[in-house]
Amino acid sequence: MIRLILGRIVSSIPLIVGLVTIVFIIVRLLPGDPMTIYISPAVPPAVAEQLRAEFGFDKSIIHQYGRWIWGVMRGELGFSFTHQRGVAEVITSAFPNTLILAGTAILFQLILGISLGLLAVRFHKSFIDKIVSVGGLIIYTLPTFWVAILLLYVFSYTLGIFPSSQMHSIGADEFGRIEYLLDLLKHLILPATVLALPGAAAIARYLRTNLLDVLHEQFIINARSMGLSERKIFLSYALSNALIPTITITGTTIGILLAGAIVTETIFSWPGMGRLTVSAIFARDYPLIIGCTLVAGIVVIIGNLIADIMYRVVDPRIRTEGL
Amino acid sequence: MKYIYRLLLVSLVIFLIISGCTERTDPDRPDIVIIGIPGDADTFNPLFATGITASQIIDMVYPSLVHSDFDLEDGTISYHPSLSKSWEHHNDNKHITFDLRTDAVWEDGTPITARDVFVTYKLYGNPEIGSVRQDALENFLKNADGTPDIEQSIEITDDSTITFKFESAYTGQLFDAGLPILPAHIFETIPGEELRTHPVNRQPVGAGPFKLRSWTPQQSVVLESNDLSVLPHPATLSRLIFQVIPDYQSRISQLESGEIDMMDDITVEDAERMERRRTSVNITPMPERRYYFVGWNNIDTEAYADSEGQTIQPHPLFGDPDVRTALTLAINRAEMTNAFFGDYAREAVGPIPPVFRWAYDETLEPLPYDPRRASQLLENAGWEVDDSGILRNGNTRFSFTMMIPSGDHLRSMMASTIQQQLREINIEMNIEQVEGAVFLQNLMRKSYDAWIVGFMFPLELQIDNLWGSDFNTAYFNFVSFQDERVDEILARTRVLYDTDEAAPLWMELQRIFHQKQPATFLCWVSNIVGVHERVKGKTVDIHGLTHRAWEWYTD
Repeated sequence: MIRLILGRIVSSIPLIVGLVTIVFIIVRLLPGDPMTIYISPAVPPAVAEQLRAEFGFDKSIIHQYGRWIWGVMRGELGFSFTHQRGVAEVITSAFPNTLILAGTAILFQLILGISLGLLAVRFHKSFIDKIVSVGGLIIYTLPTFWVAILLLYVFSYTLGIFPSSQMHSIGADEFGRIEYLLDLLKHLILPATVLALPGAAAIARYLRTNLLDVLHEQFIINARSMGLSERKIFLSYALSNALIPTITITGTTIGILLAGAIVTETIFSWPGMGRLTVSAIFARDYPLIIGCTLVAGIVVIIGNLIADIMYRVVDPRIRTEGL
Repeated sequence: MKYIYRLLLVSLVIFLIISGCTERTDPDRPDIVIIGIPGDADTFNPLFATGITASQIIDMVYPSLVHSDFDLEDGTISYHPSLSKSWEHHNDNKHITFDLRTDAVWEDGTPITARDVFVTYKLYGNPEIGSVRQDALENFLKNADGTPDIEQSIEITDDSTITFKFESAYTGQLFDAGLPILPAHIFETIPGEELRTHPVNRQPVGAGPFKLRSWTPQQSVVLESNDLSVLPHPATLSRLIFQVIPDYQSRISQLESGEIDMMDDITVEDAERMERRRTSVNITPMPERRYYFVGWNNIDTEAYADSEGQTIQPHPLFGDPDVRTALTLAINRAEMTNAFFGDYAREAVGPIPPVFRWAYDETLEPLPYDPRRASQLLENAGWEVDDSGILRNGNTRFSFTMMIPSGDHLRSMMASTIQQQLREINIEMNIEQVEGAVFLQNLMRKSYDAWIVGFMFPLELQIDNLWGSDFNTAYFNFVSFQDERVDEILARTRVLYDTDEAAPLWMELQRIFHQKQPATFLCWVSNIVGVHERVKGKTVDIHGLTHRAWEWYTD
């Protein structure tokens, strides 16, 4: 297993280098000098040139790229024009927030997806089954921003149950620990639900189909003939087999969650990576765009790696093949 | 299946606990005002801050020698004592001596002295630091290399007396002497190369009516009343919070629901809807400082570029004032203003905003929408319709490209409207959208023939850098307009302190613009502000949303 992890990490390095190289070249090849936005025309030309040199914009793209890679190796990702801070520092403050949101969304999508999938199987061919199947398909295809606005309208503006934006209420820094945590949870529910819904719908549909297939497999019939209880058959044999694809889906949805977070974080004013990326793009904050891409690439690769490992943990056949 | 029901039941209980345990944001929060803003502050160091939010906060946290107000009745800006108790002009108005307060202290208790002012201006003027406010030192005494000579320009007599010496007398001296002042005892210890990234930029030590309580990046900036402030006094509000809400729809919804108390840049549609519904939000337009105009390059862009700025000759299409007048006549500015901004804008006549009432020529009527007269003027100038239905003068076809920045929906609609209206007088206009930075860069290089820009007029009535003939100093003169009499007026009004003397000159300038139409001025637009009725003491001022926020209070 350790060999597998190390192997995957090593093979991911050229992938990440390739990704950031492409992004670096694309953003730097865009026409227009980004320093035009940040240097007042009133600044004397000599000073403007000096600032340009300070940020490395007076050099060729290859030189800028080399300088950036050298910085990355020393743990520096450059300087964000819009935040007037180091890119690493800006990302460090936003990344945990996205992790909280995406982590909660994964939890939500697992709980919701598995529960609905099981309900559909339990009431197979009933009205509930149809609702889960058709409803799941509809939710999966709905645009994230539309769902977000709908939930905001109902639960925030109309019913006033949940706050409409931010991570914490005003004055939350003065709350006790429990109250602070509950306040965070309250702010989390709507954005995490919006992020989780497509994944939950996919999991529910996958689980339903797989479970129905597995329940008709020969080994289930054998287990019944051996006199095992229905509960044991369902939990130990049927469900554990049917859940394997769910793990793959969860691993691959990490990338989708990050993509969805761009819209969700903007609508809910969640101060995470998605919102940071959008604002960096609009402000043409090149160092920050590249830094965000680097982090997103690493997260997607880690997500896929975790899915692979989990897959091997729960499926003995893959584990044996891996050996 | 029982565990599914148990799971659902547990989830429901958790949901109810979470939704019930913490109270909904209370719109009756006493002494606290929340302003919804679209983007976060960049830095709290006035040497580098460029964003509106950062500038607003800096003005409330850091001291300055003078404080300014705008009188909407007569349209004049007035300066009041702040860190300085009084000041005196002397040496033919080239020098100003400020008498500073002796009771003002920084948040850490250190007294504020003239040395703080001197050290701050040295930082502003240091070319190696590259402050964004360096242009305010344009009229200070200079070194041989053209950089500001602060040692000569600012003279400390004692801890509470300081003199500013300018190259010449001009009306904007107090504005330039009124930059935010930094604590010398902190900034003197920071090496210049570390200033841009130093932690002090995020933890300002100020002396204004507010001080920073917390800054959570991308979330909020919380200011609290500074009990030590005598500039002019600790804020009445206990806290003023800037809540970052990037999405406009979320921001406006939160304003209506009372989650935030204030926001600006409200659309005309939302403003009219809220006024119709009579919500608890008061809609207040902040008078017109933003304006739009169509720029016609007065000079030949190709010849200018080929000669690296040496050749200045009339533009083949827009070089003739009669042609530019025809273009203005052919564009229905009144209809556009009404369609896009309703009652929150005013049709523009020239480059002077109506808020400067003493200088604005109310007698000057905007040119009417008159396509027939436009065609007549063009015909007189030698333009005739060719076989393709487009005007032609010799080998020159009246066809050009209107440039606008991409993603600007409003300017895109304006361009489409203008395109249709010009087509009616047989002019072919294409529209091209380019990325914002590219747009600005090419405007500075004078490489566009025509474009639409949206500008914010400065607080001081100075337009030298917009319409002066010297392109080296008039860096915003994108249309390349040159007029000797305009230059004379601009030079004269710079040194005229008496508005009664300056007013006739400004009126004359507007008449020149009206006659020569270097650009087609479209409209002056108000910034629509929504303020919850619980917020009291807020005054309308062109300075911006948070002007005199230390006087605000809540019900």
